[in-house]
Amino acid sequence: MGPRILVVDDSATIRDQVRRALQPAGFEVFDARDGIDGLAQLDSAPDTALVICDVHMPRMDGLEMIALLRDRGDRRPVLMLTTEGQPALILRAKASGARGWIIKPFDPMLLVKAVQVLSSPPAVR
Amino acid sequence: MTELLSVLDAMAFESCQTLASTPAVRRVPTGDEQEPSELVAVIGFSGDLLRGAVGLTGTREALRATHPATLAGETTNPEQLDDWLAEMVNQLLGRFKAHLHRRGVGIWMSTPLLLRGLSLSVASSGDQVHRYELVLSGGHVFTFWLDLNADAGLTLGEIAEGDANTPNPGDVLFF
Repeated sequence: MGPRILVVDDSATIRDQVRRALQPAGFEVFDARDGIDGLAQLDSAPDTALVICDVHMPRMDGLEMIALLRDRGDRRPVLMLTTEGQPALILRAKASGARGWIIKPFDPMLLVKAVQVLSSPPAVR
Repeated sequence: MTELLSVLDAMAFESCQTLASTPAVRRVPTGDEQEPSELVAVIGFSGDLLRGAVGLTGTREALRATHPATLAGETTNPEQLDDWLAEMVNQLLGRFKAHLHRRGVGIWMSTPLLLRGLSLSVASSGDQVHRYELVLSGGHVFTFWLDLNADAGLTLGEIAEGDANTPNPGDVLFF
């Protein structure tokens, strides 16, 4: 099984769509319903290679979750997957440590490519 | 309809068109009866000078037929259908929000909620409520409505060059 990916979204439809896109590409996918659940999942799965995360969720939104991860020293890449497209919000996510942003609905092939890029270890020169 | 409401209506119409992926969207005339539904997904929104709600209804059959799992050859359960309705209305409002943002108007969205009932429908209310029918794959019809309350001082700016670069659905950005 390939890299382990966590998808955090309050929409079961989106969680299923992401799983359906990534599993055939060899990724192991598990999910969480909001930022609080996402943090708990990451605590119990230190080998998670990448997080795919919505912005607006109950209890804890995606940007809050990233900020808490970074406060803990967790540098795992986070890719935002959201209906939001406001540049100010995108900049805020970038400043918080997100590595990418996808506007829903997503193209499964582009999602796979983005995950492949972000979950790969950096090249050493 | 005032010019402002006409522009807002056009934004909503275009939002429906991009969700449907085909130009199969129809404005429902004021006064037309709406087929009552058992399930409605609603999201509220608010901004400085604009507030309201959007809603989306569809039959269980339409939800099942258009659900991504069904299109992938899988079966669905009632919870998945509920969630699909909520996700679609979320994406519709997200598109409308993007249109507003390009014209200098910001709104804050809540998360979707589902209403269940025996016979749910939206009252047609002149310029305040705009209704649209979306026809998705297989000819399945959904009804989207936009209930708007715009303050008299609301104006829409021209699309600024920066805002014209606001990402679109499907776009991928790397930082």
